[in-house]
Amino acid sequence: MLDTLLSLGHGLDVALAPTNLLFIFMGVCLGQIIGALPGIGPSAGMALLLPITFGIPPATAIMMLAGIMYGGMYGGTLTSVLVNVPGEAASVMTAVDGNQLARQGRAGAALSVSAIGSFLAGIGAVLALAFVAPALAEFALRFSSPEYFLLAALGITATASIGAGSPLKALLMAVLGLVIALVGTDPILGSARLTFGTSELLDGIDFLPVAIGLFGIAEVLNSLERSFDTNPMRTRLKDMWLSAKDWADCRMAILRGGLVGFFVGLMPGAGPTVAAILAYVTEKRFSRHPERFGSGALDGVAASESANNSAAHGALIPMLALGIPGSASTAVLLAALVMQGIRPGPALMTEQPDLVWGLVASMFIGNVFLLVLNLPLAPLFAALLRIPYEYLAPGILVISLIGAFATSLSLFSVGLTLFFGMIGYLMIKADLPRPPLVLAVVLAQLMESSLRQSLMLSEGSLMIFFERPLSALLFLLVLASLALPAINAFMRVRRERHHHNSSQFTFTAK
Amino acid sequence: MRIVDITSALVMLAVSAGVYIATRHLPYWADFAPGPAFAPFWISAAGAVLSLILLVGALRRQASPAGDWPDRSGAFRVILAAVGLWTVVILAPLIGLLPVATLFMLFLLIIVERRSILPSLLTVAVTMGLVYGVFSAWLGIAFPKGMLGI
Amino acid sequence: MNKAASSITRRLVVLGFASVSAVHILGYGQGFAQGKAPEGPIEITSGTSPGGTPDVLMRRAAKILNEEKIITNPLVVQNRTGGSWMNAANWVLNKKGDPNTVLTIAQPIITTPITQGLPTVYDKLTPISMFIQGDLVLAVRPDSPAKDLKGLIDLAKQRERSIKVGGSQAGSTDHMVTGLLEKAGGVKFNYIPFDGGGAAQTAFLGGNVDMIVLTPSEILPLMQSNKARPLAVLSEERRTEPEFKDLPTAKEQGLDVVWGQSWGLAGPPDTDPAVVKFWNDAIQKLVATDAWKSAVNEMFLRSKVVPASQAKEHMAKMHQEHLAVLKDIGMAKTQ
Repeated sequence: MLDTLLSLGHGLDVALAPTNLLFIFMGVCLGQIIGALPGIGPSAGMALLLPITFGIPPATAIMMLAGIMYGGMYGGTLTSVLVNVPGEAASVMTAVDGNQLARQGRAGAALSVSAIGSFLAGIGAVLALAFVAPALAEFALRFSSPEYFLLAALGITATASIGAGSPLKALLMAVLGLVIALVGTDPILGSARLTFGTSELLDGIDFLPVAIGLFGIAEVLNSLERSFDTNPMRTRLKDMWLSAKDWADCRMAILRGGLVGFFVGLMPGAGPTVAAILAYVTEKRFSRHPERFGSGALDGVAASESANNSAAHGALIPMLALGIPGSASTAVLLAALVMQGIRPGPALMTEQPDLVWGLVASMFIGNVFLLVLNLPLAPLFAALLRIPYEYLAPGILVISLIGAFATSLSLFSVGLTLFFGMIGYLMIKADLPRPPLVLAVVLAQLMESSLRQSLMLSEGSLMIFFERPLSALLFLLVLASLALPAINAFMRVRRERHHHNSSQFTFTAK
Repeated sequence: MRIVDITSALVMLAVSAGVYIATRHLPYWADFAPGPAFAPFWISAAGAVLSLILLVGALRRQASPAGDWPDRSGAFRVILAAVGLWTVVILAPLIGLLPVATLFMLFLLIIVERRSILPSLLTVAVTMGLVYGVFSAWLGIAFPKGMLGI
Repeated sequence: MNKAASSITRRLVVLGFASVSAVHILGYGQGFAQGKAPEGPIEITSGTSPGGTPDVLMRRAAKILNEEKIITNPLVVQNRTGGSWMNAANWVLNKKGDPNTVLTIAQPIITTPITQGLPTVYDKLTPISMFIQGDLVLAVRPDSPAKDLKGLIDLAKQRERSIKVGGSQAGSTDHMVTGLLEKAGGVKFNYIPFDGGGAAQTAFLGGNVDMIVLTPSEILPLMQSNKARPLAVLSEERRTEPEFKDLPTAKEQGLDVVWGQSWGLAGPPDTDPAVVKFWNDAIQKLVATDAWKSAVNEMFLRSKVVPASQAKEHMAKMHQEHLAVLKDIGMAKTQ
């Protein structure tokens, strides 16, 4: 404990050197911008900016690159909330509720709560990183395929309940999402599935074109139906900030989202997008008004934004303690370390205390920078919505297309994005919910490959899902999450009968 | 919404059937674990069952509230925008992605949305300036160039 | 949720090292054409996401080439991802004769057409040079009863498929190495493909699999902290660094398994011989720079140049060897 404090103090010394402060500040600003750009996520942004770190000392370089990583998590919120285009994959759930809030004139509140949630969750995650990283890394290693399968199953069981309308339609759209995820090379045996002979589809359908199309492009097309005589986004200044009631509604969401995000982020193989989605569905279970989810739940935004930031920080634990990249972004950080001549691995924390503790300290500072940047800017960004939508719409379309191109530098991705834009528009028209589809796309591959890996690990025995302590626990959670809605519905029916003594009530399927 | 639900159900039924047929030739089981056709089989089965439930429900329903469909001019704007978007993809290799995107924005603002020229030009200039500055100049992304080399 | 393109695509095989040095001398200064630099910026096309090993190597090479003024044209690395490198390959294949585009050659350029039954790519390109090689190390858990390769094979013989090998996607280098070992040792392993190298390492460190194939720079920290026991390096000769000089090759232990990764560059079809010469000369100068040498040492790679005059034959041989292994492990769709 005392050792840690001393090391941390030493780290602060390193991070507070003027050059380092400058680079941390640059990193978080760049991250904020890169996160906000659709198509370019933090990992691609870090890699593109890797060359500028060649000449500078390792600790400084890593502090800056890490700044891009978590800065991206703050930045992704912006485009998601303001124009419904997820700036990076982990902000996709924010687009669902955040943009609804923006339409209700509450963009400022959504942005502020995201900034505060990200900050608190980030600081919490850095504290955990500083004090118990080795233990947590050992814990992360206990997670393997069986646990990942059950975790993904836990997320999938929630699809029926997300999205505002009928559970049947939600499930049907989840199936469509699973179909989309099937496209590409089979994860275990490498056979091509549903690629229709095109080599472009061999790696599967990337998540970003789906998300940008379904949300960004579909939404703009839908808005073009209206004539532009009225400006629907008129916001009052007092709605721009977070009220005391909002805070009361969200603080538990931030805590839960931060915790879920942190643990999911710890596990190499899950990542911030899965973290944000699991936090969102968890929060829906706990929320006092789950019916608002999908149509503007501030606590939903708070939970998923806190989760993606704490996941980004959590992913650093297996990287620093074991040298394992837990996410695309930490893989770039590892590459950067290697290029600086530093060998990441279990001994990194003892061999490179300046670097590791400097990095830890820099993340406190970086998160403070980001909070200070984002809080006053939230109403300012929200005010961007005062620009008449008819001028924003063409810009949103063009930036979505350019962003889609940037994901793979091929026009095929642009076509794919447009295709999903059209599908998204038809889904809006047919009153089919989009969030279950997105959720299924993210979780499907994890679910399929980990199921098959588990059975290969156990040589075909299903006992692998019950024998391991963590998987047994997760299995119970999956059972509970399947049973709870049914039990709730049953109890409700009984109560209704009791109160009204009416027999007309029909039992609705989950 | 009755007819819409019936259509959605039929489309999803077709998708499920398509997935089943397209993956039928792959092995269902391989050694210890499910093979490449395992997931597609169960996904298409689930899709078929859910679409059938939706279909039967919609067929048995009598009254149906009207859907939220656009008026004639609204639909026209949506179609024009969609056609314009696809044109961007088709023309990008010929005249370059950035120039065609510029033209598309002008088309959308001036012809589809009927905005006045000056603010439209300003919007296009700001957007394309941002795109060029950030994506091309800063991040060094190579966009498809047309015959004119831009 | 990108299918970890970087890890599928990070590995490629090295062959015929014995002849490389001789070839090097012959190839250098050979060729009748005078080298001619193209005009304007040159694109180095890469098929991995930014940050993948080949991408990092090419960005490093580009920076040194520009900084040392070996090539004065601006060099830009572009990541045309998707299709297991086929998007990048098709991009360059369509640039017939274009002097301003070169393709990063990595394993999937050879293996994707084989595993997916697509037309071959390598023979349509104009080979420039293969100039980066990486070794592979075979390791087991520190608590494993296998102390050397022979011990491992004996253990595997006790019960078929009892030893679990973690690696990246089906058809990857890890998978091919496992297949080669099975063939050489007459055993069967239980190969479990994970979603990339990081996930496989996690499964290994967590004790869920028994064996793994790693690069020297990946294994070193695990060796030093006693989290993995290396059994063999799969190169022709031992590595010379103090950390690895005591690690025997598979050959020394009686199993003829020599496999590695390698990377290089090729031009589009019909590249002007003068442009090939220009690149060939540039790469000879690059590998002689201190900056490049230290980069290669840092990452425990090798940098022996297979020059343009030999590259075509070299790649054809690589193709044959990959085809043979992929057939053995049941991954080849083409004949």
